[in-house]
Amino acid sequence: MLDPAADLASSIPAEIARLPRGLGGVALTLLGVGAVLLSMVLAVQIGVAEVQFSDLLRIVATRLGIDVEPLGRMRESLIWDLRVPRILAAALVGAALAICGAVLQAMTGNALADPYLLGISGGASTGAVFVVILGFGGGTLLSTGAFIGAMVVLAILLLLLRKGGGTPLKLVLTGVIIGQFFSAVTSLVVMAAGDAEATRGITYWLLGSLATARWTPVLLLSILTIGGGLVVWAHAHVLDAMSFGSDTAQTMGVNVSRSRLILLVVCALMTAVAVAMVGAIGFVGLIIPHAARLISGPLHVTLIPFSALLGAILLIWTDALARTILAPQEIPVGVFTALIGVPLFLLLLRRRGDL
Amino acid sequence: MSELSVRNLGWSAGGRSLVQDVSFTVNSGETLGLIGPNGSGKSSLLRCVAGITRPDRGEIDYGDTPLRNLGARARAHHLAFVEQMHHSSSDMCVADIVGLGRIPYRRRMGLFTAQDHAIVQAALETMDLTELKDRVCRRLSGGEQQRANIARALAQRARVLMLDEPTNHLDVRHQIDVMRLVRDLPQAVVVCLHDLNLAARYCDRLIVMQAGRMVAHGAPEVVLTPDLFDKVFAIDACLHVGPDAKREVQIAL
Repeated sequence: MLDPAADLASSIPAEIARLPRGLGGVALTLLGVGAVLLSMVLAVQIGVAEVQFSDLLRIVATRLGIDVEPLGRMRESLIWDLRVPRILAAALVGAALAICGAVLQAMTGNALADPYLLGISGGASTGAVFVVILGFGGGTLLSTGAFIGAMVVLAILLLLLRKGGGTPLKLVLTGVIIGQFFSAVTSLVVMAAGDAEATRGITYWLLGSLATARWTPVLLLSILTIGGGLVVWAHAHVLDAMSFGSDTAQTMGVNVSRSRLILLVVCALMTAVAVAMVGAIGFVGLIIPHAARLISGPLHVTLIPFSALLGAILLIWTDALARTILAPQEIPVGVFTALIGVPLFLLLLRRRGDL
Repeated sequence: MSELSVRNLGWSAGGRSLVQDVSFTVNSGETLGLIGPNGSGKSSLLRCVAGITRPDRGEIDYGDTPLRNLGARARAHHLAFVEQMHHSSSDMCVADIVGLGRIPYRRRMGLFTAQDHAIVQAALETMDLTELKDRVCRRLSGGEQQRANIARALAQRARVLMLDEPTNHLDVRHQIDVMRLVRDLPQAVVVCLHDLNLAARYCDRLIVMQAGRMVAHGAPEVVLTPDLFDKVFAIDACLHVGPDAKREVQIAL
């Protein structure tokens, strides 16, 4: 399945980072969690409307029934109904995409796998757009449409690549081409609907933007991201075993076909709900697991949590950048992840000797 | 009782019969070699016996338990399998890889017990890897990587160990290293081999496969006759047994 010639043996050190066992590991994990929380608190204060930390404290205090002078209605709504869910959505989407990237990389034995590059996000977009255009409205149905789209792409990928994954680049090429196809289908559906206003809205969403994040979908997103993340984490040893190929994994006490099904469905679900929420955001799933490996080492029991933490941090900050750099105009966050991600992707190809 | 017994095994794929009517047993401490030309069905046979492919006919028993009654986890307690040299894409270090051999014994929380650690250390020691345990496996030489894979299989503490061409891609010295270590293991070992000399030298018994059938079975001295070399391998060769009982295949080029 893997081409020995493409082995990057020469470019990796003989000994690699691994999470220190015991207290050191715990401290590093707490540091990561702290960094996410700090990023959230700081990012809430960034944006067109000025928000101070004390405002945030007052809102939380009011919600908890503590007697403080309440903020103005408008102001409170702006912070609590727009800014806070947006930050949460950024963190959750970043975590979900990073986890999916790590899972896909392990299951395909391919360092270049990513829900966006493999076309899964594209399929999810098409599914979600169908739901919107057919007028079923949003919410859960949107995610369901996105899930169906994501599963269709996964099924096509598995069908095309059932005789082993070929080279890593072949898998990515296949995914990108499938993604292009679904992108064309999406455009066709949007154009056929013919509503200029809807077209504009959908196009903006397709580029990946967190501007429309609200509480209700964020709750769904958090349930699926945390639940899905825990399911993946419980399969960490399966992902480790998979690096020996599925035949050997099967003799190592892993029920490969069942685990693979569970993991793929969970990945499709997490990608779908993220895409339904904020559109297709690329490269988070590709880059983050590689960065996380530098801290956590290659074992998935630590790689999965650290991917989630780093993914959350990356998206919180790119979104903060996206809404301030050309303020008051917002830039879709997907634009930024691509601007950061593509050079890193090329660098990765270069290091692998593929470019 | 034998650790592994196979009776009348048959498997076909794509309308072609790849394994036909094969029966054998292996005891603990014994090294059984599977040899035969390319496409003779030795790898297919090994994969059936390891439970990777499901045979069409026949019985496979581990101890007194039929293979088909074993779930993935229980199966991994009975048998461990080392594939042909696999180039892993992971940067796992040697100790991590050997630790994966403990997967079939994982508790619910997946915590590594002191016993797991001791077993991993022992496996590393057996394969002479203690000094390399913190090194990234795929940075090591082919022979060292293969030893790490075998150590991983040993950490499974299975009673039967199966190896598919473990000496492929290794240089001569590492081939001999690996085969010596394998021969001295206390488990029942089934090993597919390409190299007739290694098979003759390090296996207690040989099964010779040709076109999916078992054409000979027994001790190397009995099986490896000039007639068999001619009919199965189409070579002019004979087995030479030295004064120190070292077996050697002499091939006329």
